[in-house]
Amino acid sequence: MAARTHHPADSASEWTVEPFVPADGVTFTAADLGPLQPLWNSLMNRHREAWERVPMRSHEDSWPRRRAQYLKWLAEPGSFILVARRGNQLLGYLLVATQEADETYMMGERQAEIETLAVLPGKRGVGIGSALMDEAERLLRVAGIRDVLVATMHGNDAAQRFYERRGFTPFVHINYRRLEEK
Amino acid sequence: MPDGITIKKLAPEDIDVIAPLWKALLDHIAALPDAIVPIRPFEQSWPLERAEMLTALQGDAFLLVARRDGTPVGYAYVVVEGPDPVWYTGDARAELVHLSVADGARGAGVGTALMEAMDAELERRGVEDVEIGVDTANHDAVRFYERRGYRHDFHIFYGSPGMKPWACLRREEEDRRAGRGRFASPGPPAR
Repeated sequence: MAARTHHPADSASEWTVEPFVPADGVTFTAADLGPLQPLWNSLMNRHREAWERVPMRSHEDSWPRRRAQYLKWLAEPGSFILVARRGNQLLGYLLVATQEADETYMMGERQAEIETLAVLPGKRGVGIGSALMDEAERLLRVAGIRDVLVATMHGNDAAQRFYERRGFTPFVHINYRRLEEK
Repeated sequence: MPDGITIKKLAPEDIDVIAPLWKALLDHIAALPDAIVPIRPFEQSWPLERAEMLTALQGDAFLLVARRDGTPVGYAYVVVEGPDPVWYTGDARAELVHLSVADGARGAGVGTALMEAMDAELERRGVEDVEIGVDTANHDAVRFYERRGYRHDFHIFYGSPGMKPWACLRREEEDRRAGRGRFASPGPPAR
């Protein structure tokens, strides 16, 4: 797959959206995912600002757990990562996990979930998230997957507007409680 | 506990007892006017749900059934998982996957009694974090959980990029069958 180059007015800030591939070209390892960690941390910070009620883990505690989840998802056929890159610098990434059809809702044979879409704080609002989503949607269409889910954190209004502009509709609320808060 | 209601854990071999209650829940969700994604027919979804529940029940999941005079009138299906990788800091977390109350038994406190029984069981096991997914269209259920102290923490969005979403296909199919909308037969020419 060819990288898609974006040419903003300022050519010095040119960046591309491309697949993020493992070193051996086949199977992702924990080390392969290392470069994504700073972007993951920035998304965690964004979540903390959006919704302080959730008792979130620290960066050090969260990344190894998230990385393990990623490796599990990426082992599924059809899952992938896209990155936005300027030279060696990663500006954002998007991870899609595909899975078998839901038992309750009538969706296709396989369905997709956008598990993460993260863009560096200083690079938000310049179209990186949209370019990552455009490419992810294109790849999913090619794969024949028509049902796509994405979760946003409550209070992350910008993310909710982003997906609504792209034609997504609120579908399920995830409600949460700590038992001691009764 | 409401009069005449008893709540007990259901043994996996008795799982078929709840089949009509699963159907009641499906019918309830399918009838919501603002539903986004169509529901599978019972005949299609029950074998899938049943298999998934039986697998989970071999682990830490549990099923609570409410009976009134011996007749099942509701159930709660709860899955218990290890620590959340990202957000919640507890060592274990639970998800209430299904909560169903039979049509004739709604509004009588059966749901509340099941939720209290779930809380007691989770407390016994030392589980602190509980999550419940609710269809955005299921307004009564959303309010029910809010009253019990639950708050939204995530919103799941559904999309069908570049293709017609299921809800749209379903409306078209209904229009086609009913001869409505763009499937309406042309009326007399306007004068």
